[in-house]
This record gives sequence, structure tokens and C-alpha cells, in this order.
Amino acid sequence: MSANPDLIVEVIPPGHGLALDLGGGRSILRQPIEKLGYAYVNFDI
Amino acid sequence: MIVGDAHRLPFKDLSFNIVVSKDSLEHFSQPWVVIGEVHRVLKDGGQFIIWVPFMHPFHRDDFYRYSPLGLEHLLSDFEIISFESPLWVFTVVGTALIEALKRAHLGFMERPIKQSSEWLDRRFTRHQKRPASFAAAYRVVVAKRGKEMRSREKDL
Repeated sequence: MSANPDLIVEVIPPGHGLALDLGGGRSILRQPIEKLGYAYVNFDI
Repeated sequence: MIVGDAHRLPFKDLSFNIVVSKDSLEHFSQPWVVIGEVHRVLKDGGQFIIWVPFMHPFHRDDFYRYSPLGLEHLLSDFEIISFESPLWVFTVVGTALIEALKRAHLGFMERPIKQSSEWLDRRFTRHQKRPASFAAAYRVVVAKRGKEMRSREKDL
């Protein structure tokens, strides 16, 4: 399944520190998560 | 990018402010172990944000579907902040239609069907704050309880 990333990004609170993307694959969430203030870590499975 | 086994996350305790799992929880053979690992690496008060399919076709390395009750059970060590199903019946029907059209070599219809069913679902579910029983996917936001709250719960 490949859901529209906006559907998950809209519930992530802005913040700081580290964000872990579990099963991040092609890192499609990198840009929006970094825009929210986090340092992005992609852990692919 | 780090590649590895999510059942043994190579990170120290309390490392992350948020953890996101988009379309991945169905792929873990022992999701309860992975969720325990997420709990370990999250800081107190940190949020775990999950998007997981429910009424969706079987796909590669696809182990599980979770009902709302099953998700609540798996996430019982966290505090639930929100539990919704933004993609609902139109996406379920649209996905079934796309599967059928692909078999008829009409896969080019996928994009407009996906976009229109998502638009309809968003329109009809925007005020719905509870998980629907007939959902394409569930979106759950939970927070790791702080030490104080955990010890208070143990005392009860």
C-alpha cells in the first residue's frame, strides 16, 4: 500500500530532536519531517 | 539510511522524539516485539504515529491486518491520542475496482480512481474522530507515558 504521505504528515506535531521512520523505504517522509523541525532517520526493513 | 531488523532496533533507549510507521506494521512477523522496541527507543512523552492498511489487498511480505481492538491491545503501553480512519469506504471500493481493472489491462485508471476515492473519503470522514469498522486504513497517534505516570499506574 502506498498512502498519500500528507495523510500521515498532517498528524505529526512540529518539534525537534530525532525522528525515526520505521520502514522508511525511499525516504518520502524525509522532507516533510525535516520541515517540521526533526532530524530524520530512515530505518528500512 | 540504516537497513536492519526492526525486531532489534540498533538504537539506545530513549533516543527518539517521534517514531513514524507508514505502511510497515503489516510487514513485521512479530509486531508486538517491534512495538516493544519502539517503546524502548522513544523518549518519555514521545509520539508513535502509525498508518496501517486494513481492507487492502495482500501484497509482498504482508503478514497481518489489525482491527481497532487489536491495535489498541498492541499499543496498550502507550496513551492513545487519536485513532481515525481517514480513508474509508470509497477507498475500499476504489481499491477493489483498481485491482479488477489491472486484470483487464486498464491499470492506467488507477491514478484518477485513487485520487477521486480519497477526495470523497476525506470529505465524508473529516469530522469522524473514531476508527470506522469499514476502513481502508487506520491512523493512530500514541504517546509514550512518562515515568511518573507509569509508576502511578503500577500503584493502582
